[in-house]
Amino acid sequence: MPFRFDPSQEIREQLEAFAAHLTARDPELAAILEEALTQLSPLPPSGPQRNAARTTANSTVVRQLDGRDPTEVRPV
Amino acid sequence: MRFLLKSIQIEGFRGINNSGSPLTLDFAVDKVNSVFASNAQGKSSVFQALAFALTGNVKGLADLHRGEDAVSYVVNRFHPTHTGTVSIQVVPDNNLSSPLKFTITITPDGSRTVTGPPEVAEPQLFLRSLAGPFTLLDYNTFQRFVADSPLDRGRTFSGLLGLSRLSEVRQALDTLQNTVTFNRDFRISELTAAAAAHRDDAHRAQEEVSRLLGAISPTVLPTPLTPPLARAIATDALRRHPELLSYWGESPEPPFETLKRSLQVTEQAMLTNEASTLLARINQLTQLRVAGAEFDERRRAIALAIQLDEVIAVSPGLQIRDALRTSLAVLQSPGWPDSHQCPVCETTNDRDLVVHLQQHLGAFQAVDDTAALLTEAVRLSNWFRCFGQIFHQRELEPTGEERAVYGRLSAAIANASLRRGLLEESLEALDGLRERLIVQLNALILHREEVVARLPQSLVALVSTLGVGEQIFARCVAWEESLAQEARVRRQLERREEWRSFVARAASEFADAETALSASRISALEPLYRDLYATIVPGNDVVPKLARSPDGEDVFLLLENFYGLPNLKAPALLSEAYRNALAISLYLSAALTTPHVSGFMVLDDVSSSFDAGLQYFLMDVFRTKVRRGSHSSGLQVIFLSHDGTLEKYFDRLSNEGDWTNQKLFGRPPVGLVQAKERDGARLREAAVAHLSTGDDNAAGPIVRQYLESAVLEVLRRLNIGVPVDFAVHDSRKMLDAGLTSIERAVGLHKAAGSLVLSQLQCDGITQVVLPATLGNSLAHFPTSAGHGLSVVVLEGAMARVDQFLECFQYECTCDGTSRKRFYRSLTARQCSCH
Repeated sequence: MPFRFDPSQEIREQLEAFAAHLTARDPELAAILEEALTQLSPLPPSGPQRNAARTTANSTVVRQLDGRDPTEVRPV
Repeated sequence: MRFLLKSIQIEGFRGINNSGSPLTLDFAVDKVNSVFASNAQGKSSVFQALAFALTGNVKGLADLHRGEDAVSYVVNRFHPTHTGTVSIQVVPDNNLSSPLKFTITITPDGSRTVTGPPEVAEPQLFLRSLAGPFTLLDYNTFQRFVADSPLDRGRTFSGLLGLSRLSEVRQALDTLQNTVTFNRDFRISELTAAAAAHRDDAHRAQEEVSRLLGAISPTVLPTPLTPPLARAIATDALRRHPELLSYWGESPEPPFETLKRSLQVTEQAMLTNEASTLLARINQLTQLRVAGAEFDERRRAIALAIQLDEVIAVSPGLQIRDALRTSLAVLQSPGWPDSHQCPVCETTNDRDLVVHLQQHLGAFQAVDDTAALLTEAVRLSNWFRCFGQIFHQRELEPTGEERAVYGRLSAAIANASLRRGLLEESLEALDGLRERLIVQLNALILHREEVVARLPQSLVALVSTLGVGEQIFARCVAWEESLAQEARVRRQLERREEWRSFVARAASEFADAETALSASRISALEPLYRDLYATIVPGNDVVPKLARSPDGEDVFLLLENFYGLPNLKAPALLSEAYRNALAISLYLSAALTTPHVSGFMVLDDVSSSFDAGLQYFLMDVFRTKVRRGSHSSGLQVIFLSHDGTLEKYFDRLSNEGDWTNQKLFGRPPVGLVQAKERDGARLREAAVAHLSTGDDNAAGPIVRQYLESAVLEVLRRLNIGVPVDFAVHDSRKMLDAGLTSIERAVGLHKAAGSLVLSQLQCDGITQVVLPATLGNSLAHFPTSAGHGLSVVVLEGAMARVDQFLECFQYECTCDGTSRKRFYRSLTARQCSCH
């Protein structure tokens, strides 16, 4: 069954339901996504500002995926 | 709980000076509130004051060029304390007796302060929460809604339906799953190159181990060969030598140091040691020779350097890039005062230069990406590693120039500035070093052969075998390390791919769910917006339909029926007025069905494109279908207009119970602006009060209003006809037309012998009042400003207005008392008394 919002719920409840849906699938990635979305809120206007915000959010995602401190120079 | 607007007070803001006497507008919560003002009478300032109170922005100024210095024009230029003040009172719709008052001040430098009641912890946030998508609407709101792209319109409509947060999350998810920047943000190319380099290292180590195993063991090597297998084969080969076993002990792996020490105690120890040292040295130098994969690495580096030259050639140039980067660094440094000020010429610009420079630097993305690939390709290459190690081989005696080349190469890799010239120079220097390496290697091999020739062959073979065995174990460690590194990097790549899939799926699911929810909400609105549209534009064989795209946020304005034709695009077919009517219908339908914190709606001249008919229908929609009280979730409506036609309509409706009208008049931006309901008695009372204190500035506009009120009252009460264009004349001509209509009607009835007015009244009108009023008052009121008249002159004008009104009244004694009554018409009284 595809995920659907409950029209009787408030927006906050609908977003919580979606977060729970993702958490059931992969708790770790869901938590990372939640933090990335928090960084993108409020969403800057599209263009350079939003691109910059995306780069910042993605750097946080990379840090969490690699499980390392962002200031550490990672050997590759 | 929703909040309604009870009142607003304005002083020192935009066109409203009102020093010490703020313009006050009170609003009824259950009625339609109309506010009429002629041009330049402060209506826009009222709308801007509301917007400023709620959002901190001043509509109309926010979009001006920075050089226009808009912020310094928010405060009224004539206000003595140079402070703008806007106070608003709101009431919760469940407790209309408990108003909350907020006061917002602004100074010419743009400093804004907000104070509120103690029960509101965050006054600014509270006020901002009132600025919903329906709170402040003007003509542009609806025009833009139609003209917007379907995507922008869809996002706007999500906001109207209270779904803007879902739209924002949807956009944020789209932003995160952007595949264009995924490779760069997640270093995919870099990690892929690193994994390949580690794989090549492991492959080279495996080849070396295989070669060394072949030298000491006759065993056919298994496939695949692994480090543990290689170590087992090497151990087995060494254990076949009884000379070693006697020193081996219990260790499962060869105890190389113990075995070497045991061999050194033999009488040929010195020679053995020398042969062993030479062998180790030969093996060391052998590893620095050109390896097979190195040719591919060189070719790739050269190709990338050529590609870099090409992308640089089509870019604006590296000097420009460096200048932009330097400027950006200056702008982003803590000491730079303003990101709108150019660090080169120091002029102040309208746009933010950080954003501007970042956009320009985007043109160098291909250069930066290619430079990064070239840097990584060289940094991870075998030949670069050999280049660094080769300096430590004392026998090769590197020249100063070779050291300088390596130094420049290392620096270029450190700051990603490597170019083709230095790359080729480095490879040439490395080749020179390697030529000497081969010479040195051959000399070492020759020397070792001489040493070995002086030793017993069995001992030589044993030392050689032990040395090879030790090398095999050392290479296995490097091999395993390379395999581990490759596995780690590949795991990083896998995690990134898992993330990409996870976000893409989440974005897709969210988008589908948001689309489904929005589509169902839009569908539910359909009966309401169709009814509103049909009410504003009656008798029109057009049925609108709002359609949401099934796979995006686009919203299309369609016509389900256009005079019999199905499914056409509304923006292309409808006239401007009908397009706006459709947009208004959609906004209102959403407003009436979507809960918002703000329960009031302020509309500024939204009917400018409508003819008189459509305007009346629109007013009826507000009165009967939108007004709080007319609908279960109705809104408090505040309607601002400068339209002369609507003024008459407002005037008539204000006699009804569901409408209240106020008119702005005065002397903006210098003097007072006041708001009064059209009530002659109240106007007269106010004018007398000001005249009694000698305040001609305040009294002048009110006397003018009193005159207007008197003329309109006579026209209305005596049913005197006016020209058909009476309503659309500007304010001065309208008054002129009203008086002329009265004068002509009196003359007509007098000539016909049907005039009911007394001779005295008739003479007063035709010989005294009208000439005096027209000749004096109107001459001094060329506009509604009415300034420049003394108290004495104004008192005279007031007396003539009173006299004018008395000319159309008679003494009625029907109920036993004497009272003044207006004639029913110019030919009849209200009653039968004489």
